[in-house]
Amino acid sequence: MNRSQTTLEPHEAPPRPPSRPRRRRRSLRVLIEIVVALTVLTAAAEVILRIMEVKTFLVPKPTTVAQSFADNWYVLWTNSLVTLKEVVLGFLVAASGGFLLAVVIVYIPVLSRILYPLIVASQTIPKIAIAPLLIVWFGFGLTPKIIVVFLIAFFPVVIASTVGLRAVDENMLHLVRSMGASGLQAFHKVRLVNAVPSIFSGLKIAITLAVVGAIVGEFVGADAGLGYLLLIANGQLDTPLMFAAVVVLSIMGIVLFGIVSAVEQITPGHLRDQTAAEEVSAGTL
Amino acid sequence: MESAEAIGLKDGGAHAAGIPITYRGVTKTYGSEEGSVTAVQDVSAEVGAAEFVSLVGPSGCGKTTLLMMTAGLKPVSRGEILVGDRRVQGPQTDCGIVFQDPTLLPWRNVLDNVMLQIEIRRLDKERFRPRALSLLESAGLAGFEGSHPHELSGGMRQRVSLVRALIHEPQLLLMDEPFGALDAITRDQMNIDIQKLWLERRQTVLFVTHSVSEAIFLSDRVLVISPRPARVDKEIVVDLRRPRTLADRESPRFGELVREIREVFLSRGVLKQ
Repeated sequence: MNRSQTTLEPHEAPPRPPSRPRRRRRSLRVLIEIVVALTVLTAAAEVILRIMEVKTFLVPKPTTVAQSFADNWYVLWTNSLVTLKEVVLGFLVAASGGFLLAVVIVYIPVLSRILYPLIVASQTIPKIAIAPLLIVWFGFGLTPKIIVVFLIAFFPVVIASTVGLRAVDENMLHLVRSMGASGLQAFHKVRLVNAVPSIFSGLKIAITLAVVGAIVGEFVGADAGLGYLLLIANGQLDTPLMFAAVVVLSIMGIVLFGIVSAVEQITPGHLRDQTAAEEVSAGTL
Repeated sequence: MESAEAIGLKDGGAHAAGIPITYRGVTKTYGSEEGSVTAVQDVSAEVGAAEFVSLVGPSGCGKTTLLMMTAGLKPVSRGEILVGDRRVQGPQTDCGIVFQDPTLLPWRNVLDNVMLQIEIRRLDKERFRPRALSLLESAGLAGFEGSHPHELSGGMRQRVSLVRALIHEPQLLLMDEPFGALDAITRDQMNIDIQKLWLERRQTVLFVTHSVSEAIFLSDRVLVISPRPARVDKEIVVDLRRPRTLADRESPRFGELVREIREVFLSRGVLKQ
């Protein structure tokens, strides 16, 4: 085979990829900006609340919240662990359940026609309304919380995964079939990786909803957890503790969101987004 | 598992010629609620082993459907297609396909996109890697093995797609308007490159295009396809010597062939004066 004879030169110069260090430096700058903004806002709140002499049981000063945080750290910590467990387990059930439902919807048209209206209907029912029923059925333990988290968080996963799995290029599937690919190969080499950005956009919404779900579950009936702590603090008019619990909740939400985003970054398909973005910016899409 | 020999890979020397295709009364109808639409009607034709045949016709005439049926990716409604002596009944695996879009996996680099063909066929990756690299080099992509598709120009992406279609030494190459999305200069270059690659390997090539001059430049024979439903309206043998140069496009004989095809289009109302 005289391959060496065919030396064909591309006459177009390829565009250069953006350098990575620059991206890292930018994310560090964003972090600094956020910290500065939060510090300024907190300081401003402190000053305003002091000047206006707002009563602590209405809106506590940041320093009072910090004091409550220090006084109650053990209670906050143990109850956070309970809530965290509910959120994480519920999220995992919602993520896997939602993804499996999406696969069924994409591959089995008959079932998709039956399932889709049911899934949409499940979202029109206020979860807070059926939570008491779940308590009746499953008691005060972990199970009803996981179910509430699932019911709240699975929906975006189903929708986003369905869109992602369907967004595959028909010709790409034709191509792998002509290579002799089995249905399973076509799924994991093409369809699944192609859907990764969509699936993760669903998972990111789901993880924040999972925190909401766990608190809703705890509000209705629980003997531990940050939601339970919020109710107790509310009953005692301990507003600083309520604020402290809310701060812990939001930190929990942000950290979990960050973890999901970080997992996305090490998943192969995230490059698809980059390509699409660059094609849009280059005006070729 | 298919061995490398079974798909016609030789480590050196002349490569075995392509595989013939026979169409016998091939018809494709799509059923719909308002009734059925005939996309391809009663096509009978032969494509010889190692022949380069183009299908030329207006957009939406059913050329692509004919190509997809040849690849076994769409079922035939009536009639039959033989590739070699085997009737096409499911996806054909002894072929390489190039679409108008490069259809590369954006999360894989150039080399891994080419090697997808080897992975899915469960062939020996270590054995095919050097071949992939040398094919990429001959396609002018040396040094870009590790680049991702979004870092390449449109022409380069299509070259990757072409290398992927050739890596397993298929006897049949199916191309569906492969250069339709490229600019005119890149397209001319691709035509020259395809001719070079083909003269070395002599696969059977079925090439769908709506560029008359591209079809004549590349082909041994041009099948002019009628507007939907697709039928073979006329068969034109291109008797220009090879290798052809871009200057051949200004030759009198080339002009005559273009005129012949244009007259078919005029008589069919595809073109109006």
